[in-house]
Amino acid sequence: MVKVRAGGEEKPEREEVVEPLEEPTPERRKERREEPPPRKKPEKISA
Amino acid sequence: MIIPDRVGTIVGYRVWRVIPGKWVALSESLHAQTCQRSWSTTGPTVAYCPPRIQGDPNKPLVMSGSCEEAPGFGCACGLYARYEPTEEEHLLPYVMGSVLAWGRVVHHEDRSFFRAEKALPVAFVRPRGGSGVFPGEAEEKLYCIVEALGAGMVEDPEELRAYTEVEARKW
Repeated sequence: MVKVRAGGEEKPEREEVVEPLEEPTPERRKERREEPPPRKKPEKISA
Repeated sequence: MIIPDRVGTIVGYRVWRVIPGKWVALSESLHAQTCQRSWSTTGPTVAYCPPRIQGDPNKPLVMSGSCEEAPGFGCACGLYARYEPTEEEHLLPYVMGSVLAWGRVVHHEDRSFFRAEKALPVAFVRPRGGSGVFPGEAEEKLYCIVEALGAGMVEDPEELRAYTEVEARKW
Protein backbone atom coordinates (compact mmCIF):
# COMPACT_ATOMS: atom_id res chain seq x y z
CA MET A 1 0.00 0.00 0.00
CA VAL A 2 1.42 3.39 -0.99
CA LYS A 3 0.24 6.30 1.10
CA VAL A 4 0.80 9.71 -0.43
CA ARG A 5 0.58 12.64 1.96
CA ALA A 6 1.21 16.32 1.35
CA GLY A 7 3.99 17.66 3.54
CA GLY A 8 5.66 14.29 4.08
CA GLU A 9 6.34 13.02 7.59
CA GLU A 10 4.63 15.49 9.89
CA LYS A 11 5.33 14.36 13.48
CA PRO A 12 3.08 16.70 15.44
CA GLU A 13 4.09 17.46 19.03
CA ARG A 14 0.95 18.86 20.63
CA GLU A 15 -2.41 20.40 19.92
CA GLU A 16 -4.48 23.11 21.55
CA VAL A 17 -7.59 25.17 20.97
CA VAL A 18 -7.04 28.93 20.89
CA GLU A 19 -9.98 31.30 20.57
CA PRO A 20 -9.97 35.09 20.43
CA LEU A 21 -12.70 36.90 22.37
CA GLU A 22 -13.86 38.25 19.02
CA GLU A 23 -12.84 36.69 15.71
CA PRO A 24 -10.60 38.95 13.61
CA THR A 25 -12.12 39.98 10.30
CA PRO A 26 -10.98 42.64 7.81
CA GLU A 27 -13.87 44.90 8.90
CA ARG A 28 -13.15 44.58 12.63
CA ARG A 29 -9.47 45.19 12.03
CA LYS A 30 -10.24 48.37 10.11
CA GLU A 31 -12.62 49.51 12.87
CA ARG A 32 -10.03 48.93 15.58
CA ARG A 33 -7.41 50.79 13.56
CA GLU A 34 -9.71 53.80 13.37
CA GLU A 35 -10.44 53.79 17.11
CA PRO A 36 -8.44 56.42 18.99
CA PRO A 37 -5.80 55.01 21.34
CA PRO A 38 -6.88 54.85 25.02
CA ARG A 39 -6.13 58.03 26.94
CA LYS A 40 -3.55 57.83 29.65
CA LYS A 41 -4.77 58.70 33.14
CA PRO A 42 -3.01 61.75 34.51
CA GLU A 43 -0.43 60.89 37.13
CA LYS A 44 -1.12 62.04 40.66
CA ILE A 45 1.52 64.37 41.94
CA SER A 46 1.83 64.66 45.67
CA ALA A 47 1.87 68.21 46.89
CA MET B 1 -18.99 23.11 22.54
CA ILE B 2 -15.20 23.08 22.78
CA ILE B 3 -13.64 24.89 25.71
CA PRO B 4 -10.52 26.71 24.50
CA ASP B 5 -7.17 26.07 26.16
CA ARG B 6 -6.41 29.77 25.97
CA VAL B 7 -7.73 33.06 24.65
CA GLY B 8 -6.09 34.95 21.81
CA THR B 9 -4.52 34.18 18.48
CA ILE B 10 -1.24 32.70 17.26
CA VAL B 11 1.07 34.64 14.98
CA GLY B 12 2.40 32.82 11.94
CA TYR B 13 4.37 33.53 8.79
CA ARG B 14 3.97 31.93 5.39
CA VAL B 15 4.29 32.32 1.63
CA TRP B 16 1.43 32.57 -0.80
CA ARG B 17 1.22 32.58 -4.57
CA VAL B 18 -0.67 35.42 -6.21
CA ILE B 19 -2.61 34.46 -9.31
CA PRO B 20 -2.26 37.39 -11.72
CA GLY B 21 -4.68 38.70 -14.27
CA LYS B 22 -8.24 39.87 -14.55
CA TRP B 23 -9.39 36.48 -15.81
CA VAL B 24 -9.11 35.07 -12.27
CA ALA B 25 -11.50 36.52 -9.68
CA LEU B 26 -9.95 38.29 -6.72
CA SER B 27 -11.53 35.72 -4.41
CA GLU B 28 -9.53 32.98 -6.18
CA SER B 29 -6.25 34.88 -6.41
CA LEU B 30 -4.42 34.12 -3.15
CA HIS B 31 -3.20 30.54 -3.23
CA ALA B 32 -1.14 28.36 -1.02
CA GLN B 33 2.45 28.22 -2.26
CA THR B 34 2.37 24.70 -3.57
CA CYS B 35 -1.24 23.70 -4.10
CA GLN B 36 -4.28 24.97 -5.91
CA ARG B 37 -6.26 25.85 -2.81
CA SER B 38 -7.22 29.50 -2.51
CA TRP B 39 -7.35 31.58 0.66
CA SER B 40 -10.29 33.85 1.35
CA THR B 41 -9.74 37.49 0.45
CA THR B 42 -12.77 38.69 2.40
CA GLY B 43 -12.35 37.07 5.80
CA PRO B 44 -10.70 34.28 7.74
CA THR B 45 -9.86 31.12 5.81
CA VAL B 46 -11.17 27.92 7.38
CA ALA B 47 -9.27 24.67 6.95
CA TYR B 48 -10.88 21.56 5.62
CA CYS B 49 -9.58 18.09 5.06
CA PRO B 50 -10.22 16.76 1.58
CA PRO B 51 -10.75 13.02 1.06
CA ARG B 52 -7.54 11.33 -0.08
CA ILE B 53 -6.92 8.60 -2.59
CA GLN B 54 -4.74 5.72 -1.45
CA GLY B 55 -3.16 3.80 -4.27
CA ASP B 56 -2.12 0.17 -4.28
CA PRO B 57 -0.91 -1.09 -7.67
CA ASN B 58 -2.66 -4.44 -7.11
CA LYS B 59 -5.98 -3.13 -5.81
CA PRO B 60 -8.62 -0.63 -6.85
CA LEU B 61 -8.06 2.94 -5.64
CA VAL B 62 -9.36 3.58 -2.13
CA MET B 63 -10.80 6.92 -1.12
CA SER B 64 -9.92 7.52 2.55
CA GLY B 65 -12.15 9.69 4.72
CA SER B 66 -11.34 13.23 5.67
CA CYS B 67 -10.77 14.44 9.25
CA GLU B 68 -13.91 15.28 11.17
CA GLU B 69 -12.23 18.43 12.44
CA ALA B 70 -9.33 19.98 10.55
CA PRO B 71 -6.49 20.00 11.30
CA GLY B 72 -6.36 16.38 12.43
CA PHE B 73 -3.49 15.56 14.80
CA GLY B 74 -2.13 12.72 12.69
CA CYS B 75 -3.06 14.22 9.33
CA ALA B 76 -1.41 16.76 7.03
CA CYS B 77 -4.42 19.04 6.66
CA GLY B 78 -4.84 22.56 8.02
CA LEU B 79 -3.57 26.04 7.33
CA TYR B 80 0.21 26.02 7.54
CA ALA B 81 2.36 28.77 8.99
CA ARG B 82 5.85 29.07 10.47
CA TYR B 83 6.53 30.49 13.92
CA GLU B 84 9.19 32.85 12.55
CA PRO B 85 9.49 34.83 9.32
CA THR B 86 12.26 33.77 6.97
CA GLU B 87 14.88 36.19 5.66
CA GLU B 88 14.57 34.71 2.19
CA GLU B 89 13.37 37.16 -0.48
CA HIS B 90 10.41 36.06 -2.56
CA LEU B 91 9.76 37.19 -6.10
CA LEU B 92 6.25 37.50 -7.47
CA PRO B 93 4.05 35.57 -7.89
CA TYR B 94 5.25 34.43 -4.45
CA VAL B 95 4.79 36.75 -1.51
CA MET B 96 5.62 36.39 2.15
CA GLY B 97 3.22 37.54 4.81
CA SER B 98 1.83 36.92 8.25
CA VAL B 99 -1.38 35.52 9.71
CA LEU B 100 -3.32 35.51 12.91
CA ALA B 101 -4.41 31.91 13.48
CA TRP B 102 -6.86 30.37 15.92
CA GLY B 103 -9.23 27.49 16.51
CA ARG B 104 -7.73 24.01 16.68
CA VAL B 105 -3.96 24.29 16.29
CA VAL B 106 -1.51 21.41 15.86
CA HIS B 107 2.07 22.35 16.71
CA HIS B 108 5.12 20.89 14.98
CA GLU B 109 7.66 22.74 17.08
CA ASP B 110 10.49 20.48 16.03
CA ARG B 111 9.93 21.56 12.42
CA SER B 112 9.09 25.20 13.24
CA PHE B 113 5.54 25.29 11.93
CA PHE B 114 1.96 24.77 12.99
CA ARG B 115 -1.32 23.86 11.30
CA ALA B 116 -4.39 25.86 12.22
CA GLU B 117 -8.12 25.63 11.73
CA LYS B 118 -8.66 29.34 10.96
CA ALA B 119 -6.34 32.11 9.83
CA LEU B 120 -6.52 35.66 8.58
CA PRO B 121 -3.65 37.28 6.64
CA VAL B 122 -2.37 40.36 8.47
CA ALA B 123 0.40 41.84 6.35
CA PHE B 124 2.56 41.14 3.32
CA VAL B 125 6.17 41.99 2.52
CA ARG B 126 6.37 44.28 -0.49
CA PRO B 127 7.79 42.23 -3.36
CA ARG B 128 11.03 43.43 -4.94
CA GLY B 129 10.38 42.04 -8.37
CA GLY B 130 8.81 39.22 -10.23
CA SER B 131 9.83 36.01 -11.87
CA GLY B 132 6.54 34.83 -13.28
CA VAL B 133 4.99 35.44 -16.66
CA PHE B 134 2.95 38.43 -15.51
CA PRO B 135 4.79 40.07 -12.60
CA GLY B 136 3.10 43.45 -13.17
CA GLU B 137 -0.35 41.89 -13.09
CA ALA B 138 0.57 39.84 -10.02
CA GLU B 139 1.67 42.99 -8.20
CA GLU B 140 -1.52 44.80 -9.15
CA LYS B 141 -3.56 41.84 -7.92
CA LEU B 142 -1.58 41.73 -4.66
CA TYR B 143 -2.50 45.35 -3.90
CA CYS B 144 -6.19 44.50 -4.51
CA ILE B 145 -5.88 41.55 -2.09
CA VAL B 146 -4.22 43.76 0.54
CA GLU B 147 -7.04 46.28 0.18
CA ALA B 148 -9.78 43.62 0.38
CA LEU B 149 -8.26 42.05 3.49
CA GLY B 150 -7.50 45.37 5.16
CA ALA B 151 -3.99 44.02 5.50
CA GLY B 152 -0.73 45.90 5.83
CA MET B 153 2.17 46.16 3.40
CA VAL B 154 5.61 46.24 4.98
CA GLU B 155 9.14 46.50 3.65
CA ASP B 156 10.98 43.56 5.21
CA PRO B 157 10.61 40.53 7.51
CA GLU B 158 11.59 42.51 10.63
CA GLU B 159 8.89 45.08 10.00
CA LEU B 160 6.50 42.23 9.27
CA ARG B 161 7.19 40.72 12.66
CA ALA B 162 6.76 44.04 14.50
CA TYR B 163 3.55 44.90 12.62
CA THR B 164 2.03 41.47 13.22
CA GLU B 165 2.84 41.38 16.92
CA VAL B 166 1.09 44.73 17.41
CA GLU B 167 -1.96 43.41 15.50
CA ALA B 168 -2.01 40.20 17.55
CA ARG B 169 -2.15 42.13 20.83
CA LYS B 170 -5.53 43.59 19.79
CA TRP B 171 -7.22 40.17 19.87
